[in-house]
Amino acid sequence: MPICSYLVTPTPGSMEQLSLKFHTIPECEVVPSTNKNLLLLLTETESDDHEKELQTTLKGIPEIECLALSFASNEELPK
Amino acid sequence: MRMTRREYMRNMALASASAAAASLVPGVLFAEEIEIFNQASVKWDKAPCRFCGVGCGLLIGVREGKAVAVKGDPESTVNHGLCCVKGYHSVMSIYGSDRLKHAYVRKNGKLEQVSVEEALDLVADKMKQTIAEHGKDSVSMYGSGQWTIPDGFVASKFMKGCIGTNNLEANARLCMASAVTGFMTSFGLDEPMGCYDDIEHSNVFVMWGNNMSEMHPVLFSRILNVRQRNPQAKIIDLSTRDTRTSKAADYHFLFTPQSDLAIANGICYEIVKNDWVNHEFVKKHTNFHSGKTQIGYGLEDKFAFTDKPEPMSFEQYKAFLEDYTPEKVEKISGVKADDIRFLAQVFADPKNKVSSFWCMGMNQHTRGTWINNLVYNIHLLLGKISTPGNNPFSLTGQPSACGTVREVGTLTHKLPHGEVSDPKAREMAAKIWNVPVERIDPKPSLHTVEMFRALDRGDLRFMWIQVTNPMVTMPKLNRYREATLKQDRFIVVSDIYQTPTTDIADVILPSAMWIEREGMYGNSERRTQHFNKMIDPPGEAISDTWQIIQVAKRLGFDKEFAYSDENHIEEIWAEYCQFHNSPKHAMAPYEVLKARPGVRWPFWNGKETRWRYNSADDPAAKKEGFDFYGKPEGRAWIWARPYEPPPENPDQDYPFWLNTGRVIEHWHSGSMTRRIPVLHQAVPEAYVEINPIDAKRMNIQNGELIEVTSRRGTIQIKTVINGRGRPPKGQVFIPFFDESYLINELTLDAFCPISKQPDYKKCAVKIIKIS
Repeated sequence: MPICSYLVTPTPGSMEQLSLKFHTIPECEVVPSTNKNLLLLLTETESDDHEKELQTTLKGIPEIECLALSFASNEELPK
Repeated sequence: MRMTRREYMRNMALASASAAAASLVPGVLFAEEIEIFNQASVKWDKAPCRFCGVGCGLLIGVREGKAVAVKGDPESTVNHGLCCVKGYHSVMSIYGSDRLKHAYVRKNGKLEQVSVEEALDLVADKMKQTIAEHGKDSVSMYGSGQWTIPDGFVASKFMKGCIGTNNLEANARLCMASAVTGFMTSFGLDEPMGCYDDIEHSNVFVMWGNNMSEMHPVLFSRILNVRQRNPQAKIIDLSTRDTRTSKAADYHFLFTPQSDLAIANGICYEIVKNDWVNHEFVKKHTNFHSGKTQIGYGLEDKFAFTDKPEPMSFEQYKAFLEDYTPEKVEKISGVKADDIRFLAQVFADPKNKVSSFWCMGMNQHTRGTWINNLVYNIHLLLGKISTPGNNPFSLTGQPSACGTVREVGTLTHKLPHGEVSDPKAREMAAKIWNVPVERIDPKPSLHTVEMFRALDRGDLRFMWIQVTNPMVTMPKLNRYREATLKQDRFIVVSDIYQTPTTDIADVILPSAMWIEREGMYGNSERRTQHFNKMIDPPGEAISDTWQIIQVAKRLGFDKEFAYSDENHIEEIWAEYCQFHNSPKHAMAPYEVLKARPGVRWPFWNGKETRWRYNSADDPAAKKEGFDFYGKPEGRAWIWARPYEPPPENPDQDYPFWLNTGRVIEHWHSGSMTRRIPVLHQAVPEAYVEINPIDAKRMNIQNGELIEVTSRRGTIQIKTVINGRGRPPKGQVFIPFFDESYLINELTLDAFCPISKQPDYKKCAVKIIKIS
């Protein structure tokens, strides 16, 4: 049950388009900045395989200039 | 509506990204408000960070009885609203799924759940029985620089004032003891003269074996900020390994382990030789002394050492420095003679304001006291001390190593004011604690390493461990783990999670953590920080303070521990403040601490002190200019301390140095940060860093499993080549946060004979390619 959050830098001029694209992906929730070229992205998937599929989808989005992981949890801890 | 764990994780994920954005892109705003930061139902309250000794101010968001968010406290002058990755995720360490909620007692070899009341009864009975059979000095308590100030205060009162034994120690012995003895021998009083405000006044920052970018990242960001605004500002990194701090530094000098002693003396040689000495300052405010040499390493049980200071003249000191010409220092340290000259010039340049920083590199050192003295020498010779921007600064690793261990005095030789050997200090303690003065033993007993040795020998039979994980952190671990498992040894462990230390416990007490109880921490810059109880602890968990009070009462000390359930922290604080009621160390009243994000002592006439010993700022400094009032005549001591080699050097059989330490993502033994998903996943396991030339020579690939062996133990661990840190040829580095790789089974229990602090930074190992 992975949950991740990212800081996303869109390619120049594609902020709105990228934001709309994230809205079409059910696993994604996006919070755009109003004054900087930056988005917060929250993703939630059902399994590791599902997460891998989403990662592939994200990698294929050309409007993403930089995707920086901020948080990741799948409740797999040392104990 | 109750928040599910999944909703909680979602909130934390979004809060984490938002916090990261705020720190990376100051002033960033978002179209939608981040839900968790703006809900009216979230109540915010201040607390110092739970982790390192920097003491960043946090604001904790609480909703429905749960801590759900963290942001930096903009009111705190420590961090001005910024946090590091551990701070932003700190509240998640409370909610590990395997949190200890109940007490356990070992019966027939197995831990069985019992009520906390039953466990406390057993602890008290066992203490009574052990004292009756083996005497008061057969019981001990081993606490922590993560103890709150009230925890440490009641522990000291219980052990020293009630039981009458000095068998009280804390894990700060393993990280800060050399800093204490360094301050005591040079200035007569513990803790830094400067404060973090020095950073913005300085233009040269010298890191003495201190990977500040990972270990004290918020302070390092302040330094980087200074350099960004002032292109003349310089960072100089003196280290035994290439680190992230080295990469950020303007100058980086690699030195052979232990040779920092020679480097510091070499800098002083150049200062004296070139007559850069501030003669007026030196004449008015310092004395010169020498001490014993060839002082040993504490490797044998019951090792004892007492230094013998002898006054010396400036001319004698000058003659002593002749052994440390830059060329001679180059031979010992590997640092080029011209670089030693350069360092001396940088320190001495009247245009430069210089801050020296250090932490474990100088303190975990078999000559830890000496190297502290020697760095003070540089600042004293130049008069660059106790003034804004010019200071030597010893950083701490734990949130209350200063506040609890050093100020309350939870070490064998200490009392909340002064030392047990001082009749006046015993009288003061007896009066405030309302106990017979004869009950306080005038003789210090066992320091930490010797305490575990005594457990091994059978001199100690009972040990109560709180808020620390010695079965990961003790050097030469195999001996001391076996000691705890011997027959007729009884170990009580108070903690929040299962650890290798709870594994050896006879009784486990579940502790309330950080904001689950009220308390205070004291950080590196003499700042006392109060935090309220914000949430309830889980299950039957109770605070360490209350655990000690309950056991003390069961042993018949009702009168001494007649604190109220509701206000015991305030009552303990008022009692503690009586020990420091003078301009030298006065603490802020409870209501002031409650209102502010920390106050630096001495707090006198409503004002906190930033620069001690400086008559313009310190209410206790009475002489013109400076007054080092901890020492007779108000003079600081400049020490002639030589270079002496470490007890174990690489040789033909064990050809590598082993250096141990930390990474930014994990804090200490990892029992909290490894339960924070994002931190655990960032660095899921320990590793061994190896120099690429050594790796190539031995045909070792990145990520390959190798065997690392010392004369005391062996582990198998994966390699990292050209990772975040890179040791020089002939050295390996292993972080100690991962209980699956107990690197302290390999380390040596040699210690500084003055501070009794072990050296975790250098011993000899061999490495073997397995496949």
